[in-house]
Amino acid sequence: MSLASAEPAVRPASPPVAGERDAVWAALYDRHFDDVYRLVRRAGVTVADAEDVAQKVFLRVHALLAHTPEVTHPLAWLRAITVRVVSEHHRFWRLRRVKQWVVEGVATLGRTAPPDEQYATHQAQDQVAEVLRRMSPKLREVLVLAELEELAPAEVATILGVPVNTVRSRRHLARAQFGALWQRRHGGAP
Amino acid sequence: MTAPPPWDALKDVDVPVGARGRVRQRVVDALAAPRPRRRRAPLVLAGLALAGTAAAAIVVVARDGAPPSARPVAVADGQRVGLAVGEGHASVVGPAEVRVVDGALRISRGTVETLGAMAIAGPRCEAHVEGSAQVSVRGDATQVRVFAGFARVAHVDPLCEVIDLTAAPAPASAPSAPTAPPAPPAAIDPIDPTPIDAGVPDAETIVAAAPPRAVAPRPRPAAPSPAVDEPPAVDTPPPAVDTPSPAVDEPPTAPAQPAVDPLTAEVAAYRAAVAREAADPVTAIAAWRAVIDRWPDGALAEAAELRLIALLGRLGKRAPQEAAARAFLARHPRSARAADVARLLEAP
Repeated sequence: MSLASAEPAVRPASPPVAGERDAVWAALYDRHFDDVYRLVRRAGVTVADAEDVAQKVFLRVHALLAHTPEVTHPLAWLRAITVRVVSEHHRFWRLRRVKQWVVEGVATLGRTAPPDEQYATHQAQDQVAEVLRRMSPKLREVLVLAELEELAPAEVATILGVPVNTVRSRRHLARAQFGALWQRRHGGAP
Repeated sequence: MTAPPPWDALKDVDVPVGARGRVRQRVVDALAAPRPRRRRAPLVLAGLALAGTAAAAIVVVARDGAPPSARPVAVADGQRVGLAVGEGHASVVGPAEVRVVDGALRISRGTVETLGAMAIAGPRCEAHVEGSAQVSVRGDATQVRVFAGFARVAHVDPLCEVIDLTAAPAPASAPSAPTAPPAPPAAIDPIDPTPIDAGVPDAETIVAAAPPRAVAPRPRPAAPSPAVDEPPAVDTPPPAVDTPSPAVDEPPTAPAQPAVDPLTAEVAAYRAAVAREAADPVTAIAAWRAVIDRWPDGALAEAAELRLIALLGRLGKRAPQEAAARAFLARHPRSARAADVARLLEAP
């Protein structure tokens, strides 16, 4: 999907009043909730946290609508917000793990997942998500947008605000890092 | 033919049934939450302050144009300035701009490291922090990272975020209660390893947060009212753990004197239920129910219900636990732990 084919802007250029902002927000929510939720999950957020992260995304969308003059490509805009929120989530996920390590000891880090996370249908997704969470944030963002969302490098570059060549190099590095982490975690080739 | 990469597994992510409605409701609730307002000093204190300091204030304002404490403090990049605020110390890391107003640290921009107890405020955030924390203000967004102790925001706002990096929610300054609650089991919720009552404040935390004669606010774990510059001193007597209670179904320690403040009585009953939970978990169920029934809108009602749900889970009483969870969701749909309780109901 290209940015050019994205739906038209959903709001006028002038800053909206509160009621109009709510209406715009509701339209964005109804149209793109599934897209945001899937991107959240694909970016390595667990099922347990996905709704919390999606909630943060749409809260931020509501706040940003007050200051954003125009959203030309709503889905790309939402993706960019989602990527940032997920990145913050992962950053504090790491901090929480460090805290857990300090407080509860190293042994708890290797605990087995709760039974609900061991359903066969979710096992592969959880394994991929676990590796994604361990990746460098910049590389993870590119891998998720390019490989899982299947966006073109130009679209990824627009969302992340980096040059296209940077996206290409990061994509190459991301695949390598994912492969290395996957091999270390699960053995075998990715 | 090469095998597909492992990440292809995440291409088939399904949106759970009901997720759209649940998230929407939570966002709408968060947006409908009241906006931060400036706390008004009690009339008595205002009157005393006016009578005692009016002349001095007039002199100061006439001479300097503003009270000294309200002067902005601008800290250049790479510099660090220490300030005494409230009952603590703030270290302002440049570039930053802050001012101390009425004993509260108002941060216009930048990062401040706090130690001790003080009130802090950002553009859309008011909070009371105790312990060690870092407060960052960028634009309208305020982020409070708590490393030790606790932080309470006055009102929930999407641009006012508190990140708890402490090991336990109880404040370090709280005295060690003789009736400390038992450690919760490892897994009440099979999905979320965090116990359902994790983060539920103990009685001392609530007492420390609430002024002695304040009207008990509707509590939410993430946003109880802060007590700005007031000593956390309501020393309610410890519960009689070893004293036999006449009846399990009665409130554990009903106030004996009619003049007892309702919040004090509620805290005492809460403490007694915590003590009973440690001594006899089975009878503690009735004790918690008594607290909930007696103070359904009390400051500790939400915490008491979470404790009851957790206790029922520990005792393996699945059906009553589900009933209590449903009641909790009905009464506290905007609770910070509502999602955890809902997951509890969804668990097989």
